[in-house]
Amino acid sequence: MFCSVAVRPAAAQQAPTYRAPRLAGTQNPNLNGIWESVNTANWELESHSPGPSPLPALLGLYGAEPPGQGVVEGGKIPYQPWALAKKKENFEKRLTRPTSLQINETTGDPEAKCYLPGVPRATYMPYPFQIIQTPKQILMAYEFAAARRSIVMDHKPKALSDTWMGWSTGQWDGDTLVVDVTNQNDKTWFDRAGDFHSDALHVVERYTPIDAGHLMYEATMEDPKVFTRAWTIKMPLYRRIEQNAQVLEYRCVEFSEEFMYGHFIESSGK
Amino acid sequence: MQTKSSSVAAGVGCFILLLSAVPAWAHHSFAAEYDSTKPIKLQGTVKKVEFINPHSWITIDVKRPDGSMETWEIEAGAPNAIFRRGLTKDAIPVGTEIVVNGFEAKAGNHRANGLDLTLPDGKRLSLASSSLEEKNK
Amino acid sequence: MSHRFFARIAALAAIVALGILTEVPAAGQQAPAPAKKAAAAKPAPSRTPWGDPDLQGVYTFATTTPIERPKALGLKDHYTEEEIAALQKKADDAVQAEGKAPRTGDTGTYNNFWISSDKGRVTGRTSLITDPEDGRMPPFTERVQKIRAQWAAKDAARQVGKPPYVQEFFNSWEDHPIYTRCIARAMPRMFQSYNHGVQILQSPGYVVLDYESMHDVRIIPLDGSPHLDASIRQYNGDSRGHWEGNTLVVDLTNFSDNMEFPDHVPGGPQGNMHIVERFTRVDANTVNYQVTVDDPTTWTKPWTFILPWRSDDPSYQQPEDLFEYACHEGNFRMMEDTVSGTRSLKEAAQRERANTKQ
Repeated sequence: MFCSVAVRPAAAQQAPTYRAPRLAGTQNPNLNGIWESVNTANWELESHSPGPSPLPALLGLYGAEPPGQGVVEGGKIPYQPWALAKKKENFEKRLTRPTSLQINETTGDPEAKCYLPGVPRATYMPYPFQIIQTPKQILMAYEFAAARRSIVMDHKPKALSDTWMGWSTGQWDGDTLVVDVTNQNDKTWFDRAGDFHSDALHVVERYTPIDAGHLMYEATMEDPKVFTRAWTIKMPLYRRIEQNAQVLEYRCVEFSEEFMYGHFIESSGK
Repeated sequence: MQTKSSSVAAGVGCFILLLSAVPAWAHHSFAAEYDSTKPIKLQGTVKKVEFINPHSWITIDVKRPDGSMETWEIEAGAPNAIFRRGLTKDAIPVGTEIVVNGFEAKAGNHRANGLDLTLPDGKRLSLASSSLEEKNK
Repeated sequence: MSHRFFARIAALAAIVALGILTEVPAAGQQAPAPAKKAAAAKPAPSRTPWGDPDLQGVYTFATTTPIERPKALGLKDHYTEEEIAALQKKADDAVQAEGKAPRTGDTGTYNNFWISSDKGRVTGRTSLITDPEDGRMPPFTERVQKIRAQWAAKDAARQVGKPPYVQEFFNSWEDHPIYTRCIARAMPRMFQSYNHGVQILQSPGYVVLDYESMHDVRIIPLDGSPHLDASIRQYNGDSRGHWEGNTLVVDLTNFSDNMEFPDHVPGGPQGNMHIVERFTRVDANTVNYQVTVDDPTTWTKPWTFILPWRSDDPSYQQPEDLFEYACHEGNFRMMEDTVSGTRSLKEAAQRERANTKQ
């Protein structure tokens, strides 16, 4: 790919050799398209061996965990000691049925309930998402649970309260889209292994086009309540190039209700 | 014979009636959860405020006449509806003493549909809740 | 806050909004795409840098106009200026009433502000529906009437008691409408008394509708590609768009059979619904949303409505004004109170019957 050195901004420390086409009317790379990660990060961010399904007698291989190489720079997530124990407890209780509001709010993998995944988990769930980029705003629409989030580029919105997908502000660092995400609530997990955070989580993402078919994605997590330092994950995002590529509706609420509410109609034995 | 003013009245009357026929598109009905024959007035301290859809929730600690403490959860309207009425995170921080008017939940589980709340300075704020469907049954 | 106060703010916001909107055309005018000659009466709408008509903005589709015309009005499709003023006054009075003390047992006085001022401006029409000419939805087919009667009977069987104390039993989550289960909103989107914000965004080859309610994003490809395979059904259907002059025309098919319209009755199979939407910018603050719904298995003839989407609501100016609608995530208490509540009531009734038998 021929690069025009004269127009490349001087700011980038490690200038990419690929220069993506510009979005019409802007000097920014065009990130529009349908993208998807290809890894096992949603199972577990750290490297892992394969493991059985939660219900092997009933499901056989369905729901068994494949092996995977981790996406965490440095290998391990730097938990505070109490938090590492909490992660293990999360994993053990990942499929606890929410028999009360209190349990629903504190226990179990939210993915099993079709709850919104938060950032960055939404990026590496094994389903496509679409980037819709305009000059002043970027909208990301995820297939899972119709999650979406708006990244405002020209001002900083005031977070009126904590939300599941947080409040995102974006800016360009050369050809890298940098997204600052704050005010996520504490109810999402990073993966099915029980990796978690508090409501103090601050995420900074970087999306860099490296060739016509790939973005390099990095996300740095800071949460002084849970981790001893900031940590980063990194992975490529692959463009879905099928002629008919489309983000479909994966409205999973109706597939989660039996799990979530079935105990309300089972006899209470009273 | 319909005079102009009576046709306006009919139009407006029908408009209001149709306006009231909201349930078709509205969120779940008041009656599914709450009891309009059980109005309640609660005075308590704000313990938690959840600005969430489809309904916001305000959790308060209430001291009962016999001295015991009870926790009540008050259902309010969608965040955008109550933000617009001045009910923001800053308006009722944890620890604020408020008085709430509402209707008890049928489940008898210390939940209520909130109609309004009064702040320590006497200001009363609507909780933009789902009572309209109840009125128009 | 009085409705008049909001009207002044709305006027100011309209001026500001116009200012914001004119930032985009600057880029468009520099684009190499050939500019259309302005029509004599109206200037051509601005264009995106890639040459598409610019429909972008943050809108609400709240309105005081009812979907169906009151029968008493017959074929009258517009109110007079005097009638509009009376309607406006009625809405203003309702807003003022909010400030007064509640009347005992009257739970309705509290919500007028919420409903009326959030409903936006009066369109001047007597109904959103413009065709059929009586401004009302055409009759349901016999098939659907039967289905609706069955569902009505099913719903009635779950109601115990008389107003004001009606107990509704929910034997499972499925007794709740799709709406209340936080699965989907009715299509097409018409009436909404809250969370009625929507943003239109455009990128090359797409128009995108980002709805506040149910956090639904409808991505409309403009590349002439065919609809999804018929075996893929979606609650919001499958959208395909193209431009006709300055109007975006969107064709929707592939609806899920579980869709409920207009209320808690699956029109069944709703999958036959075919919707054609037409979006046209009429001024700096308004996009007209015109929709024709066609389903000969459900309605005896097609019907059309026009609903203005307005960008001069002071509460809906920025993308972040569409507050995250994490509906399912916030729905646990409701399910617990209704479904678990029903089980408790039934068990209590059973115990009572057992006790009285002794």
